Amino acid sequence: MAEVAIVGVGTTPYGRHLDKSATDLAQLAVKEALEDANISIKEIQGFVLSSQNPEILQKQGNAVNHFSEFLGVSAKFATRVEGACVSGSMGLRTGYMAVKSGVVDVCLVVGVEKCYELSGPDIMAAFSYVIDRDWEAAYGSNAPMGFAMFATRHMHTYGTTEEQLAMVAVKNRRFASKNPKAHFQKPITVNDVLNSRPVCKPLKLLDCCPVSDGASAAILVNGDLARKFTDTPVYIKAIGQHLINENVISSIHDLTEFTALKRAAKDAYKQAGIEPGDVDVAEVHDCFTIAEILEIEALGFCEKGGGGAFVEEGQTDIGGKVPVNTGGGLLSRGHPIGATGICQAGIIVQQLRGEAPEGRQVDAEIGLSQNLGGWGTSQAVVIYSR
Amino acid sequence: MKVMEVPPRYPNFEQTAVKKFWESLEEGKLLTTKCKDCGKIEFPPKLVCTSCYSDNAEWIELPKEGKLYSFAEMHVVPTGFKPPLTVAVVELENGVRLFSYVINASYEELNVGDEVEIEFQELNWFDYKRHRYFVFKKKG
Repeated sequence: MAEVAIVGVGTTPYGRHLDKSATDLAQLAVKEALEDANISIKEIQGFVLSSQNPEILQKQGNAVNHFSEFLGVSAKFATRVEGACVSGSMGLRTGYMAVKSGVVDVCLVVGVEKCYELSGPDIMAAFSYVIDRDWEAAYGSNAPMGFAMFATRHMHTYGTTEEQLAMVAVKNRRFASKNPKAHFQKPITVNDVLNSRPVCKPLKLLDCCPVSDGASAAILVNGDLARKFTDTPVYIKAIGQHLINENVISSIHDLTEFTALKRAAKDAYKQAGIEPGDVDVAEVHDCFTIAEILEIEALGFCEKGGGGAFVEEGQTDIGGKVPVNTGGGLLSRGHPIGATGICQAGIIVQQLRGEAPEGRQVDAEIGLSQNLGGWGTSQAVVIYSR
Repeated sequence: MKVMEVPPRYPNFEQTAVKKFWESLEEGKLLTTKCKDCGKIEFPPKLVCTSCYSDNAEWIELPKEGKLYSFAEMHVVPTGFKPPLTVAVVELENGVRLFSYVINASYEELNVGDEVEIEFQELNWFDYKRHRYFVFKKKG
């Protein structure tokens, strides 16, 4: 079967876009991706839309048809994917399978979320729709709550400290200070994180990613055609995915690890024929600081329980074993739900092309992105190479 | 209370095959389903066993004591709730885990492994519905 290459990526800045609609944001991301690939919208054969919640956030259904009007997409394969925060990587995988199977040769994958049409409490209520209604959300559960449960248990079992969690936020903000498209760019200190107000103990405000508006896009093509569009194609070597049937927080059998990620990663490494140590740069799903620690463990970058120390030693920083979240991560770059997985791909593509700005540039041949949905019980891992 | 554009959610107690769970809460009983064919105890209760797919389930009563598996204290809460809310995952003697509120302790007063007992409390669901649910009380 054909190889699949990414030949174009684009993203809007992430943040509060009070002067732009969801379709405006999608247009801007796709425009940048088309220009990057030097391709016309007329050449697009497949269209995958990743959007978590336009039904509630915009009161707009039939999303794939709706966005096609504004994007000018006419396609022989079109679908919309949704899996909460992992929607973007599910979209990448859907586009990847469409190209790999030969259904289409050129596929546009677009992720978009526009949150700030609603007020803060309404956004929170809309996001809580991803949580099980009868057994969890009805009692007030929200995103920080679930990850705080992991944090409490991980700290109890392995002695992970609030300072180590804070170091994740500080590192990712430093990277974001060199990413003009990041939601937050002003550097912070460990004390800033520790002194920020509690959101859900033990997690504080700066342990949490923001709500962002934004869109990201990628153009996937049959590998045989890649050089027609670009001199620097980036190949998708593997995508591993795992969904585990533990959606309610009390159903998760082990709150000290992301079991589904261990399985997705194992599959992805096997497909790509590599070991965790071969990964030169990674974008991981740091919706909360504790998540990045659980992820570097489950991805095999360090041993189980050793994530806090690995961060403290600087192993996830430039010059460490594997620089993590050089684009700023969800914590600082922002997290427009459906766009995140596709934005992560764009940051890895930038690194593998050698186009990342100084201060967050890694000499990388193999990159990895990891994206999760729910309480980490739905996971996807993408491995890229030059 | 401000009318929200995005309505909060509460369980539908009527249109479900596990209606008995909700009815039993009113009598101070905590029930769940156990598969009579393979023995798997489910929580949340389910119509069909997720392991062997038998629909031959029986209702069993769950123990009213357990230990804290993990916990958190919410300071930012959805509309309709009052912060802070201390919440926990509790493991019962038979391995079943439950999620609910801890009603008598703050985050700093709790430790993993603490013994809790289960009580029942009237919850106020966003002024729409009132219903009893199970909650946790730290012992001692």
